[in-house]
Amino acid sequence: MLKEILELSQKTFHPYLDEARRSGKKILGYFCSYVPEELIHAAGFVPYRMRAVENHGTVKSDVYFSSVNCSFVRQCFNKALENEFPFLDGVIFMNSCDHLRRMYDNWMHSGHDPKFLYMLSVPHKSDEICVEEFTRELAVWKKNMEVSFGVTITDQALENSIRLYNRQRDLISRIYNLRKNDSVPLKGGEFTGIMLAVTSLPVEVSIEMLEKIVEEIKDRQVNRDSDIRIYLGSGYHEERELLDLIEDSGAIIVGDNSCLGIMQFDRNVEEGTDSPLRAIALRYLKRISCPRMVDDFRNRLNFMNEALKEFRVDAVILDKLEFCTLWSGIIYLYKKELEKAGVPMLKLSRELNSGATGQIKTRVQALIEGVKNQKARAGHQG
Amino acid sequence: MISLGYDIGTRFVKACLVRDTEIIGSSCLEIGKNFKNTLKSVKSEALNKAGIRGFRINRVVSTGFGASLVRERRHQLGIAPCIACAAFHLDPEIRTIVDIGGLFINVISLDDRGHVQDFYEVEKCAAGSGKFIEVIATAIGIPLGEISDIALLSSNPYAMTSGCAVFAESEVISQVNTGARREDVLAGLIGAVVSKTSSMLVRSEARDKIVLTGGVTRIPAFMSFLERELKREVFMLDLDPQMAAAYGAALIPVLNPHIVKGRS
Repeated sequence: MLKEILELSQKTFHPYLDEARRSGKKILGYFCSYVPEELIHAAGFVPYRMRAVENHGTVKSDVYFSSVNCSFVRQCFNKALENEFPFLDGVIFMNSCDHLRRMYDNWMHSGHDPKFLYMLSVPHKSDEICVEEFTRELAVWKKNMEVSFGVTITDQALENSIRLYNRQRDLISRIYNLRKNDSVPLKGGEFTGIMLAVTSLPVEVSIEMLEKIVEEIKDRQVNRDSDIRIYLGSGYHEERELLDLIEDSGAIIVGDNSCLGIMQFDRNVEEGTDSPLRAIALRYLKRISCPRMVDDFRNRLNFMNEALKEFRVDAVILDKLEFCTLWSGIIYLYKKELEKAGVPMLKLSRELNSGATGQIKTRVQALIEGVKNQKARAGHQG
Repeated sequence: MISLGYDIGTRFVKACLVRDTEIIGSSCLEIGKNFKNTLKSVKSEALNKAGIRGFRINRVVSTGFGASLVRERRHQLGIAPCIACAAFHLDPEIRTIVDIGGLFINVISLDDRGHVQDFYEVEKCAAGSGKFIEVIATAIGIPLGEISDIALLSSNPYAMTSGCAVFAESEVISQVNTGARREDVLAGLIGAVVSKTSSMLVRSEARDKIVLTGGVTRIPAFMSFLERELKREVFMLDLDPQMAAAYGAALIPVLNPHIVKGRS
């Protein structure tokens, strides 16, 4: 099952999506972990997280963007312009960062399919006013989908979707938490692969698969005793090769603070409330936040510090895409705080799907070397 | 009338002597340590080839990146009208010219009368120029003359992700070190310049017929890769592609004398 799911993760389109389409379901693409999949599912559609796997450069998107725009946005939009998402019936954007916001405008201008493009506005804070605002925003989006596609999204359907997605989040959490153990059952790249696949599959299918995977990896061990334990903070990564490269240098990635990781499954939506929309709004605003949220750095830092202890982390790698304004602005703060706490850390800045592995490898090796030396010295003194 | 056109590029200095509209002598030299000497040599070489003396020249027009460095009594023009004049004179069907030189990619679109309609230049960046190809080919130990032949051998070109020449160099070195075949890397390198050029052509809504000029056209693989990417036919001028701007500069006093009248 693991092998199958990893294969799915490297494809833009796969038979499960084909099957969903043929059974009459629509597929709605979305960007960013702040877009509630529950709403898309409750409308009877399949949510599909947009990705840049299998991309062929950025020739067409460079007409719209410049070389100082993020490579994920350029590669993904190029795929759209090359008509490589013909199976989508709509795309939901959100105001996560400026590059992505401009992709919405550019997509509109290009007139490429699908024609249903929607910009969801997510507040940048998580206080009570913002929860109310987000609930209202979700109601507007729901209405828009109902009118555009001629469907009705009932509270009951929403409750059902919430239950399913809670189940999915529970299963992923279980897999994620297995990595706390001394014997780590999954490589970082494999976990990313699972996340990529899960966010492209109908939730009913992914739950089944995840259940099998939990069983399958129970007694698995992929790390060596000498591996140092790494915590990965990342804006967006979808390349398993990158994580393999880190792990092959003598490390194991045990936890993450990334968009396609913990942010996707942290915290559940409360079930059985009077207003499922409000419950959804609460979950998405109260879960561990991404750097797009303001006024929440302390919470993020505390969350990370907790994780560093729980997962017995030796070093932190913070990885960002070149020109990512959100992560560029926050990494320095993390660096200072980690220095204070005496945790070794490495900052990586790279292009998505880049072959520039030499430099990354050297830097990762230096980090691992340093940590191992430190451990040996401490062991010697102890 | 005999006119002399200079094109002071970022890597080479070109001089072209024209009697009426016919080239009677031309020369192209790499810019050396002493610019003045290079300029002198390029002029005397062109004169020698034409077999005439300097005082017979009626008009001098300079263009290119360093046009203002020509101290001779001169007219100075932008690169776009010069290349446009040369290309349109040689083939009035041309509507788009792509000029790829040492440091810049220029796309020039012409109207039906051969006048410059629009002009696009690549961003302030060296990735996507002749120098970029030169630097990286040198880094992986391939002489300039062999680039094209080797690149054409590639069956699985490497897709470069970095838009920056410096990052691209480290990307290439990583590839070579991890065992990628050098023809694939080289094809990827040319592919990077091709994709930049294609983006500019799409942005400029290029009309047919498209011609290529500039030093990079000395790499034939470039043209075939570009045609494959654009899925359109691309042509060359019946002229040394590096000489297009200098030829155009010399043609302007002949064909469009009003442009340079009285300015000196």
